[in-house]
Amino acid sequence: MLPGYRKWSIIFLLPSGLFLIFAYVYPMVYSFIMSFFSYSMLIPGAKPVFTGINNYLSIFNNLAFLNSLRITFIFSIVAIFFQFIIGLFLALVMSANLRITGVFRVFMFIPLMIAPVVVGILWRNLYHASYGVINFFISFLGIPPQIWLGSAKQALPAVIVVEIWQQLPVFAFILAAGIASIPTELNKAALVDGCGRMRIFWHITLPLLKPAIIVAFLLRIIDTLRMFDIVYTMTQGGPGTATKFLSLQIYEKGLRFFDIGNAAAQSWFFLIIVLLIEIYFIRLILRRGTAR
Amino acid sequence: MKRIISCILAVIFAVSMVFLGIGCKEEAAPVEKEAAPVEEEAAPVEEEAEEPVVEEKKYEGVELKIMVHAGSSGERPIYEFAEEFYDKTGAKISIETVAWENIMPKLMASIEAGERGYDIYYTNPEFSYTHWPSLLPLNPYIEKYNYDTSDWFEAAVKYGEGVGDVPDTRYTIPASMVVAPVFYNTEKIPEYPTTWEGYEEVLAENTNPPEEYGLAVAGVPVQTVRQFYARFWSLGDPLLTPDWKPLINNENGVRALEMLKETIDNFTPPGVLGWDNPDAGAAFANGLCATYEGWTGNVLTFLEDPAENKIGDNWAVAMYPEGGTGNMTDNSFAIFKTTKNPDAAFEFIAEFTNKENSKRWAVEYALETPIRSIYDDPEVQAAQPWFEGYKEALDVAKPAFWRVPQWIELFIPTGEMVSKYLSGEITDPQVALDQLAATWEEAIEKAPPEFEYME
Repeated sequence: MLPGYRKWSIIFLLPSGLFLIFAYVYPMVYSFIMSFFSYSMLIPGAKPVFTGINNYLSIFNNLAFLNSLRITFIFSIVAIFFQFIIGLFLALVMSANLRITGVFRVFMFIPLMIAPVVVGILWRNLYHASYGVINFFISFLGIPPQIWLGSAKQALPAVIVVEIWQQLPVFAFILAAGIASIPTELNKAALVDGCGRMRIFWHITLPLLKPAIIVAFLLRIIDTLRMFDIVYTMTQGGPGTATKFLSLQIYEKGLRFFDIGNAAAQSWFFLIIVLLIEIYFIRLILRRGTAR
Repeated sequence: MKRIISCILAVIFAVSMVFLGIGCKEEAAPVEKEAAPVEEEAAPVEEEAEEPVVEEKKYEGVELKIMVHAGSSGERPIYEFAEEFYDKTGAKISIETVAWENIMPKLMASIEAGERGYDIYYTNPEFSYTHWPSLLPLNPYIEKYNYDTSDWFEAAVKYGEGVGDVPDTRYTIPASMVVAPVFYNTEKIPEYPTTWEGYEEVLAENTNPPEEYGLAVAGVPVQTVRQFYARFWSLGDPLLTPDWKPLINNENGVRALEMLKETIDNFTPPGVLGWDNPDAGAAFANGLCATYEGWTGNVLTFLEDPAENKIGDNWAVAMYPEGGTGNMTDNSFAIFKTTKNPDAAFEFIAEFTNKENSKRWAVEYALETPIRSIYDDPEVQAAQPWFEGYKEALDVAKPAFWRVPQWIELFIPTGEMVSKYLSGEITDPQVALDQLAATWEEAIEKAPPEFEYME
């Protein structure tokens, strides 16, 4: 190491370090501290009162929170499952070196480039029970008009479809990149040995694609659990609480009711759940790396 | 060496903070549209080349930052008046429009920002129930400027004073009175009913799916509150007892909720529980629905647009049957205590809301002024024939949770619970209302008001 190198490294790192402390570390630490206080900013003159872990304990009795947690997980699991299946199929199509692959890739990107709020408004109109295009098209199949976002039973599946539509390219492109990284020699050798396409897929492509699949799952799980803008613009959490995701629940607690202590505790509880999932997937990736 | 480096870093840091501070100061309240300074043309000087005398305007150099409730009927007049006020007084008005959902966080941030925050805000007075300690009491200014409130609707006077349990103190000046009446198609409903039974009859007569329906409403959770209150209040009970015990889950509450569900199930287009205000407004204006229960602004936009309006002038406004009323609010101005220019701020408000301008806004922008006599003005009546029915609705209007700082914690769960019942998530209205009453009690318990509940 050059003389003074360490010192100058610290000097140059200091501004960004300070920025990180002010912009990220301080708010997080502050919100963690606030999660142990009862503090409603709506009440004039109210001051934070230390309540220990009461805010965390109340989460387990909070039916609205638990219901939101359930809805969020259903949304996340169903959406990611379909994104994976369809995404894998599309990734295989994209990897097939067809003439239309280039155009196909461009079209695949379009939903991903649209702002979530625009996506929400767009699909809200498509789902409109009286004027929506979706009801118009399903009428050709003999299906009567559906009420979609106005129905407690159909609203969540309707939002899941939008999530699948918009974020499908993430899965497709990550998996396509994973397929491209598989050495072609393996496929060729398997073909010479007389393996069929399906066997090659199950015994070569899919196992070698595992790291890419894990990464895609990791990214999508984090994203789906945080879902806010699309559902807010489409349903505002309704009808009733049919689409009231955890992010909406915490937003309401924190930025509508200004119940800062409870909102902070709910946020941290949610963060811990996401972290545990994240750690599980990262360990999967690391385990594979070590095994090699 | 270490010390030198530490000193250099400290200086860099200090200088950065200073620049950062300056930047923050300039960006504290983002300006969406500013009243453009009007450059007056120099009059041609023909005879004497004297030094032109520049008359300094009263508030030259003063800048007022105003937060305006986006989409409120006052938004366009405020922009227009800001320019006039600049021309007249020299005070520059910076306007930021904010969607209702973001008003509470914006006001909180503004209070934290102190002098660098807004000078004035324009939105529903409910926000003042929470923020009144940060607002300027307006009574001394009302007196100083001889501001006339004698001709206001009774509701504007009664519910505008005493916020924060400070007797006779006023923190807000209303520019428009907002209540959700019933808009009805006069071709389809030549005679508007006065009873709920009659109301349901005309809705049934006009429901012929999928071509036409009786009623258009916004059904997303937060928008269902007023339809429920209209039915509940028409049955005669207040929302709470004077000592803050919920009455909403009594038999009238159950009846009101059932009435609303029957109406929505039988006489509205499919999917209204996913509709927001514009969907409902458009459905009335394009003739799909014979009536519309909702805010005026959301339907007038469509009725004023020839491309959207398929019913022409065949519409009128009436109050709910049997004395029912949706929750009343208004759009009021309030001044933050931290403003450096309270007089300029009050003058802006006073001039915007004086009788002359209120009439002008009523004619040009359908702004629902709190000045009652304006509704009887022939010029206003010619421009806004619907004001006649709206005046009747304002005469019986009342707010929900008047003066309660945690009003939003009572209001939003109401919509959610009503929506739960309407959507079938909860099938027993008594269960839904008991849950709602428990939520209200919990919210009230956080800071039990020291005054009696009153409507």
